[in-house]
Amino acid sequence: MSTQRSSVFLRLWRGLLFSLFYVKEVVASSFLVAYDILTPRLYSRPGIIAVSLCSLTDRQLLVLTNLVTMTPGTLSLDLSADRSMLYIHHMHVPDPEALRRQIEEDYVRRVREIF
Amino acid sequence: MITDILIAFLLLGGSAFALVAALGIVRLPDFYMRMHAATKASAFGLVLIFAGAALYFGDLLVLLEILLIVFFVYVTAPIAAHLIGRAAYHMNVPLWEETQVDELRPRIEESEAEIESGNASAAAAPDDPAD
Repeated sequence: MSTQRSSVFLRLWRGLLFSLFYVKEVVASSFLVAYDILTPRLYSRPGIIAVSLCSLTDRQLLVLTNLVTMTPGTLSLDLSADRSMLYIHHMHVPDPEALRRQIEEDYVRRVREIF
Repeated sequence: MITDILIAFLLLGGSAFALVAALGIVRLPDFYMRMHAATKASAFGLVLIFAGAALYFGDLLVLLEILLIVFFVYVTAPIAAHLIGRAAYHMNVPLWEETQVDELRPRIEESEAEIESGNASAAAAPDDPAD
């Protein structure tokens, strides 16, 4: 009983942390895109990168693609037919590998933890 | 008084973001980058304007409605952006020439080649009972 209750609290706590993370990312992405638009010279070097997803449920996939679109510089563009790859348009890709790793490790981990 | 200033600040800030989103659609070089401006900046501008409205009315029911509006905007805007972006890519809307990498193109060419070869093998079988 007590373990069950604590797991509910843990889930709520993680949900709250995730919401804060989401809000932080939304604010950061809005200011970043505004900066890109308003600077006279365009520093953006866009690209489309493939991110591998390993077996996410429908709900996790929805949250992940939503998170990707609303976070700084990224826009989820396409999903492969077998749902193993997500193709992301990014405003700044100096280093595709680092970006891929960041999304695979940070975003996918966060989404998998909660949903 | 302080609330008024805060409301004014939120409304002007929200309008500024909406303006930036509109400017982005004009000035960014390709379709996909314009989608960034049209989803992120405009949704955030909307949130700021609605936050100002919530403060102005100072009513729980209004706040609830506004939270729902913001929630639905943030759930639907990425879906719309994804569908529009995906449709554009499949219709070969060109990328900006400064685009560094495109890891989607090989995959689409692969699947198109598969469809082509599938059609070719179907055409090469004249004794198909269907016709």
